Amino acid sequence: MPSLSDEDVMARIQTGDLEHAGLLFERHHTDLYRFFVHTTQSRAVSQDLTQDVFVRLFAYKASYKRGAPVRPWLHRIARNVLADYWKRPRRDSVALDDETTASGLPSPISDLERREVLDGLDAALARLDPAQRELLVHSHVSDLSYSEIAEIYDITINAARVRVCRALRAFRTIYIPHEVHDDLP
Amino acid sequence: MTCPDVEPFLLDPQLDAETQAHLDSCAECRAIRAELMDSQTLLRAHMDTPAPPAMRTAFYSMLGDLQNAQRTPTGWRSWVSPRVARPLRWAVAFVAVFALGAVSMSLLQGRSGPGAEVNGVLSQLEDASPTMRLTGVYTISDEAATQEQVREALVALIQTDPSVNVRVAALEALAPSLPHADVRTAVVQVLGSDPEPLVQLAALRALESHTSPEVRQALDELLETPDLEPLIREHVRSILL
Repeated sequence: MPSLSDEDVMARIQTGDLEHAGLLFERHHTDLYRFFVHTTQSRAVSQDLTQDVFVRLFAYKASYKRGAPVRPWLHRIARNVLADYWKRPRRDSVALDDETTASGLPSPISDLERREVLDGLDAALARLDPAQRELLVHSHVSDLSYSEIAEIYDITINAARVRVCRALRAFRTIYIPHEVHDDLP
Repeated sequence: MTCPDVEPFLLDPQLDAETQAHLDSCAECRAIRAELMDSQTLLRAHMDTPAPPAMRTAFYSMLGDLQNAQRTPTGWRSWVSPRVARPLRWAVAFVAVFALGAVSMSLLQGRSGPGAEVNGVLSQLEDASPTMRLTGVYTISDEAATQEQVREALVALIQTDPSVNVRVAALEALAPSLPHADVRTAVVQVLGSDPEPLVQLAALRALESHTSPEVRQALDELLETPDLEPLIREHVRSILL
């Protein structure tokens, strides 16, 4: 039996049937979490913000247009959640370069190099213009299609293509690739 | 086609003939495309941060609260105003506690202790309300590892309960009991027969640290299912790796 589509689940949520609501969480929470991790640079904050997206999903379920694709709608909520977060006074947060991996477990030494690359990428993203950073994370981390990006940002598909391309070029001018030094112990 | 014309298509994995023709004749656009593709690969390869498992607990806890809040008053509560209903409920609870105390005193030498408590919760697992059954599962889940009758009750729930959330909670409660062959067999059966992806996911999470040949075979068979939820397919593959 084919499983319920996001749109079917959302239609049920609108009628008060929460039995399958977990499907939306299971399908989208990782993408949303990554979006927040790479825009806020904080895992602790990202957990809260991801949860906030789902809180708003239930609170504003009436605003969902029946049959419309759910993924862009969720990511639009995520953008609003992020915008509200930036408006709040800054609080202490756990930086990405803390002592643990995203899973909460200590980093194995074998992951060190991968981690250095990731840190370099995150540092470059952090220096990017916020609008370009969001766009790049949507297109290359959350893997949203151009049509989904166009819907989220309320622009044409061609404009989405151009903006993603320019954001990636801007990123490329900032990012300094990690180099492995053979002479290091 | 000019350089600005091809810009929107520079990241496309497959180029149309016109764009390709421009790239063949323009070294600058070719270099930009190569650089962009390189950055794209780098980002996609390194930014696959996994979400912490604690987020799942927080989400389902919120969902449980929403479901509880959603329950509309039934019976006498639907015609008594909330202002009157609350004190009335307290009064009924007060009388009930006294009545229970009196009964308990009269049965002092009778059966009491944790066994009786478990029996009480086991009967809650048969309640008509899914919320009551769910609460029952949460209450009793710690006993599953040590008490056979609790495991049997939870196995019955994962096989027959009409509520997805109750089946998911029962599977989570049974996860520490997977070393018991009968529980493992029941979870494997549920994985292959339950049509709900959420239940299948919960079964997979329970089974992922118990990949016996029997489990691996069930996972292989699951991959053959047409229309399998992509999320499940991905999870199965990660377990089988």
